[in-house]
Amino acid sequence: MAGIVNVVEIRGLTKRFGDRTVLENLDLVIEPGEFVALLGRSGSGKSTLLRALAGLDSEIDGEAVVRGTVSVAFQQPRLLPWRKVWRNVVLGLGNRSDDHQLALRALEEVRLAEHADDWPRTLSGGEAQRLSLARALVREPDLLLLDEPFGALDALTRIAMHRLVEDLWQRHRPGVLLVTHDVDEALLLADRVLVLDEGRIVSEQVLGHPRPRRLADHIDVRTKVLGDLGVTEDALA
Amino acid sequence: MSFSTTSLLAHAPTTTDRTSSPRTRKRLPDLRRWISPIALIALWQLSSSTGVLPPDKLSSPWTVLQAGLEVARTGELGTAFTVSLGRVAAGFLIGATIAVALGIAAGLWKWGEVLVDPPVQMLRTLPFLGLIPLFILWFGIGEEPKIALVALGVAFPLYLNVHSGIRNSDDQLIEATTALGYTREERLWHVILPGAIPQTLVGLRLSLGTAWLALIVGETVNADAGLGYLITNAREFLRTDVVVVGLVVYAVLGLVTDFLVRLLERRALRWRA
Repeated sequence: MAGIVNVVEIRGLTKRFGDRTVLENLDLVIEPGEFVALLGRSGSGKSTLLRALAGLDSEIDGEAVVRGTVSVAFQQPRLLPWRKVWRNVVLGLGNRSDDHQLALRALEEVRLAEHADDWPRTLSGGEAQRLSLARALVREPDLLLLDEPFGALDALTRIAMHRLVEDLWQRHRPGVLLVTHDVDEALLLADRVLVLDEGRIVSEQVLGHPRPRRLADHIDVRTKVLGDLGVTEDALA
Repeated sequence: MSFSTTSLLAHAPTTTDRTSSPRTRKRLPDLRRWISPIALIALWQLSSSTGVLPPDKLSSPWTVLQAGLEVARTGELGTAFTVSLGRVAAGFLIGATIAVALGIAAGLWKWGEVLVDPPVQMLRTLPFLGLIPLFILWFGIGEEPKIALVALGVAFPLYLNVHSGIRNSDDQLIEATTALGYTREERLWHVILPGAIPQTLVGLRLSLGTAWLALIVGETVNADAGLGYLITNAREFLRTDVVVVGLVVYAVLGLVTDFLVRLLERRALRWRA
């Protein structure tokens, strides 16, 4: 595997808010095109880590190198309500003559092309989240950060979104860091599942099975990961 | 006398807010709502005709209508109208330019906020109409004090709303667009300034209401042309009919500007609908 440059290289990352240590001496490497899921309970520091990688937090100790373009999709779609759907996709890319076409192609991928000239408020929750994904992917990122992007969606929409994300990932092949608290989601999508607890990575599971995955093939890993998250067999029974 | 008109103008923005979504409320106006206004005018006419209301206190609606047609025909009304409109326009342009520039400066830059906001907040507690004596001393009794008064009345509500519109921009959007690689300039044009527009339009409506108020007061205190002059002059000759005509024109102007702002809102806030 020589010659491959990692998209993320984090060494000894520490983040403190006053006396509280949110991330402690954390190491993490993400290879190009690798899909990594980061699980953790609320307050485990996973969002802090994502913010550091997104360049939204410069007050950190240690080393956090991101190579190439970074793009983010958040739990809330965070669209510009005063710009048409297609403009939301391509704004921020600088002035380019082909931006309308570029936007339409990106919208096509998330099946939103017919909404190109609508206002964002007319979109449903799932559609808005798809637009947010299109906006993130049109930047052809080397690293795609997903901050619980399905958290606010209903269960059926979430299933459809899982398939879409996997599909888009296979097509564009960015390195992905998916922050979530949904174990099944992580098992369905990720090459590698990390569990973060009190600012440290406490477990790492590599999943080798071919895609699309079936949860039934990963019952053991599921139990193990849930255990690392503090959910025991007793609680599951 | 001018107070009834000014309170009407001041209330116009709040009463129209509820009907500002045209697409959702396109039903026919309720005709029953016309019963009491028409009854009141009929009562007014009846009181005048029977002599209960003497014409030197208040002329009858019919006389007012005739007086209106008369001053319109002689050209007095047209001239007064143009002069007054010119004053409001000039004062508004000056006041709005200053307010928007200062509001943006204070909203965007820390030093702008530190330097601009404290004096403006202090000055805004001054009742600006109380400055008339000073303005007459400074600018004389020509056009300048009236325009300055309008500009001052416009500047404060507009500044406050532009400033707070920019200050209260959505942190989540700023964060998202930063992470997506927007430049500073792109963030300004596509996130911060569009986000401040709804609040700015609220300020615009308030400031236009104040603009007419300032004009009426300025023109009534001293003037040799304009609607205020028409009214003051009519008072000298006990022409209450012409006084009422002037007041009605003020009211109509207030309503027209409010209507224009609502048109602007409908266009600028289409995304919200």
